[in-house]
Formats: sequence, structure tokens, C-alpha cells
Amino acid sequence: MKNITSNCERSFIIEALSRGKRIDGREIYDHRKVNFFFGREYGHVEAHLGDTKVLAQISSEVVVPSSERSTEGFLIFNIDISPMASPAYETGRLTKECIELTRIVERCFRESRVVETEGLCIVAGEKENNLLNLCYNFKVWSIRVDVHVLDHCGNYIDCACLAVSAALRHFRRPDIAISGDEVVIYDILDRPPVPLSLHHLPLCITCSFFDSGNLFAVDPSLEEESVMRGRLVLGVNVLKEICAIQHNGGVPLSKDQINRCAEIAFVKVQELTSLMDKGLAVIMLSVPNAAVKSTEARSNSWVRLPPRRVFSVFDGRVFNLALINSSKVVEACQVPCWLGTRTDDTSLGKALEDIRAQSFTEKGKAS
Amino acid sequence: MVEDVNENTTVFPGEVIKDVKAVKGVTILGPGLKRNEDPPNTLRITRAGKLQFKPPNIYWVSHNHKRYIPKRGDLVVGIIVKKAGDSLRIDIGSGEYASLSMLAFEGATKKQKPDVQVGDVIYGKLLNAHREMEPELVCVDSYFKAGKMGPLSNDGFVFTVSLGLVHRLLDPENPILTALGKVFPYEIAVGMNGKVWVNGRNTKEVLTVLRCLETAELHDDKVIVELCRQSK
Repeated sequence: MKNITSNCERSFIIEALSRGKRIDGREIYDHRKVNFFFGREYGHVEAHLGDTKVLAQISSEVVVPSSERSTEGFLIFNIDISPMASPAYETGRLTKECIELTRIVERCFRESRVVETEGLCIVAGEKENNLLNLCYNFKVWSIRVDVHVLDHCGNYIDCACLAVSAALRHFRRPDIAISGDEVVIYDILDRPPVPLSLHHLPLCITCSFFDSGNLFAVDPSLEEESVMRGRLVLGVNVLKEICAIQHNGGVPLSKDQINRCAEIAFVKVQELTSLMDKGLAVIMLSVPNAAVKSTEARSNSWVRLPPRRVFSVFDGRVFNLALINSSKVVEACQVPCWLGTRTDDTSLGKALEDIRAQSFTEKGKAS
Repeated sequence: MVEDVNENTTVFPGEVIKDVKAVKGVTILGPGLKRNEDPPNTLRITRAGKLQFKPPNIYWVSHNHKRYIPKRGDLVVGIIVKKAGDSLRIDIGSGEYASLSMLAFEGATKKQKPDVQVGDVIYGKLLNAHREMEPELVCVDSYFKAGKMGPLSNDGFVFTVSLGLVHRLLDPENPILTALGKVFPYEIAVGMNGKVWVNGRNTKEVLTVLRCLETAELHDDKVIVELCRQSK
């Protein structure tokens, strides 16, 4: 079932854009609200961009490397756009959109060498001359990234990149030790797991063009996507390096337009990366064995500051909440599930207030 | 087990209502309810929402949905997806497209068909809506008069709201649309399927209506009325 846009929507969206307005009340350069939900496992991240939702799940296993690159690990992407995302997609069929998304994500993360694949090598060994057993005793990590578009409400490319980036940073692989020929893989609970070594972190910024290319908007919604004539996807990192670029649609773009989009993308990627930093700072405070103590230490010295933004981090049973002030985590605590489902900032702030009051009284009782 | 049904009790699927009131053995059931065989004279809830009772014998559950399920007699707003010979296929937001005959417009004959294009917006009535059949739309009533039905103007905007908000807006006593109308004039067609068509004097006013209905999804009617009063 295809999504059909009516003629009046089409003309209205363009009319509104020509007056500098968008139908969801955003400004032309605004992204929708970005939110990250971190799962209980390492490398499980759900990124929300407005109503668009993408899930990234990273897993690792020890495999034999390819014979050409025997000292390099693997970074594999498996990307899926199911009918869950939108009724326009069918199961089992490799759609044009899915191939495009896979290509952009691979170009962004694999071809710009985000993950140091040499660092994923466990046992390199000597290459034997025997052609039959080329490298059977070599061992490398294979990092597999599963990306699922859960809800398509426009611009899933940006959202998928946000999810993959956050998941790569959130992921920890089990620690290993090598003694002689033997490789020991430690359980996560025995030894602190090891993060991936990342060279840089690109994010995609989509600019959409309407009419004959004279109208422009960042982060198109589903309605805008069905009306737009062309799209420029820029994969950039905080160091102002362009890692991937994709231009579709029939709108010709001038050099100035592309440069302008790149300038916008550089600013946007700073904003989005700092948002991700804050989200990760929270979750890394509340991971099982790593930094529980420091959370307690912080919560004892609560500072009453106006909350800038409340991050909600879901790990199955409870929501981990934190108040952020500029770049520092002011406080972090856990809230029962039903409180966390109220997602707007003010009610979460209230929930925090309640819990703060509660734990103060508990402390009073204990002393 | 729900004891008192006169208030707006929140109910969940599976709950049972006892002591059902009936007039001459007849009880009228709205959406979200099913008759229970065992024990007799009880009702079972099938949807989460607020249980409503209107004396003497009408029961229903008022609830919010995003997905529309076609129902016979509903007035809906739809978008023409395809023109196939004498019939049109209309997207009304349900699981299947609805069909609309070209002859089901006022004054239409075999020779003189209405001038409609793919992508136009239609306001019509569901003639037929069966679980296992394609829904069928008409744009005339039983006297072959169009009334308010037919193609809607191509100026304006179509958007989707939740079904709960539609039910609220279509309540004749609801103040939202009247309060907005006192601020500036506008045209609106609210379909039971959650699609809403709005037209106003200019882009800004149409966007204001859009924002208002978006706010109304999450807030009380009073909030909108207050906003309208302030902006006057």
C-alpha cells in the first residue's frame, strides 16, 4: 500500500515553505527532537528523531579472517526496513530504500574507517606456506551491526546514523587474554568489557529541496519527503570532514548550495554529537558494574540547578533519569517504568522532584 | 469486575460488567463491548477506555485509536489514489482502499462524470463496510443529493489526527471549533477516519488550526478555548 499525498497537501507544504514556515511548526534549519534509549545490553540503542524510530543492536563474535586481510576484523551491517516501519514496505523484498540506506551507512561507517579493524585482530600468527590451511588458526572479532527501522515518519537515514553512532560508542566487547596458543574470553561480569576503538564519528544530515530547488529544509518529515524534489545527504563528523555524500532527485544543485548545506551540516553535527555525549554520559553512569559508586557519590551531593534537559534511558524495568546542566550530569536516578512513560520534560522533572523528596525523607529516617 | 458504571470508570479488556440495565430485554451496545454468555446478563470489555452509560440502556467504551476501522454510515475524508474506469479508489486510512463509483456523485451520469483527479480530497459516506469486503463510499444521500459531500477544494490542507480527537471534535457541545471560529473564519471537514481537511484565508491561519488541533490531542478543551480567548 503506497502512501499517497493529496494535491492540496502538496501545494500547501510548498506555499508554507515559500513563507519560511513548516507544517510541524519547525524552523527551516531545525531538526526534530532527538532522543536516545539505551537498552540493558551493550550496543543496544534506539534513536528517536521526532516520531521516526530506529533500533541498532551490535553483537560480536570470534571468527576466522578472510585470507586477503588476515589481520583485520570485520564490521558488518545488516539493515532492514520492515512493514513495521510503514505499510509501504513489504517483508522479504529488498527495496530500493533499503539498499540506499545500507549503502549510505556503509559509506559513512565502513569506508571512512570509523572502527579500527586492525584493532579487532586477536591472533594474527604467521601465514603458513601450506595453501590448504591458510589461516585457520587466526582469530579476529566480527562486529555485526543490526539496524531496524521501527517507525518511518520521515528521514530515517539521519536517524539510522544516530542509532549506529550511539550504538558503536555504547558497545563493549568482552575482554580477552592470550597465553601462548590459548585465547581466553572473559565474561562481562569477570572483567570490565572493552569499548571499540573509534577514529571519528560521522552523522548524516539530510537537506531536502522543493519546487525547483529554491526552497530548502533540513530533516524532512514524511509529508515533506513525499513532496520534495531532491535530497542531499551529507555524512560529516565534528572535525568538519565530509565522509559520505548522496544526492538524489532531479534537482540540479549549484556549488554554492552544496557548500551551504555542508556548512549547515557542520553546525548540526556538533549539536547532535553533544546531545549524544550527554546521553552516553548518563548511561555509562548507570551501567551494571562500571560506575555505580560514582552515581552514588554524585547523588549525595545534589545541587539544585534548573534542569536543562532530562534524559530518559530505558533499560527494561526502570528508566534512568538524569538532569543535565550544560555539559555536566547534575544528577542521575532510577524511576519506575510508569513514571518514565511520561516523556515530556516538565512531567519528568516533576517525577524527579518527587523521587528527590522521597529519598530525602528516607535518608532522614535512616539517620 | 466493574460495579458502578454511571461514572467515567476506566476499564480494560477482559473486565466484566454485572447488572446490565435493559429495557424490555434490550440493551444497546456501542464499541468496545461484547455480550457475555456465561454468566448471563453480563458484558465483557474488549477495549481499554472509559465506560459510558446513557440511561436507560445504552453502553459504550470511549477510547482513543490511531488506526481506523471502517463502519457503515461513517462520514469520512479520503484521498483519490487511482482512477480505474468508472470507479475510484480512495485512501481512507483503513487497511484497504475504499471504492467510490463515478456515478455516486450528485448529477453524475454515464456521459457526464465529475471532474476529479488522482490526489483530490473527497468527503463521502461509507455505504458498505464489512470485515471481509472492500469498503464502499458514496457522495450522495438516499435522495441522490450531495449535501455537504463531494470533492473538497484543492486549497487547504489535509492531515491526520487520532480517532479520540475526532470523536471530541464531532461532539456538538465541544467548544474547540467554535472558539477557533470566533478568532478567524475557516472551513473544516472532520472525517470519522481521523483525516481532517482545513481551509482558511491564508497559510498562517490554516497552520494555526493545525497547531490548535495538535495541542488538543494532549490537552483539555479548556486550554484551546483559553488560547483563543487570549489571541482575540
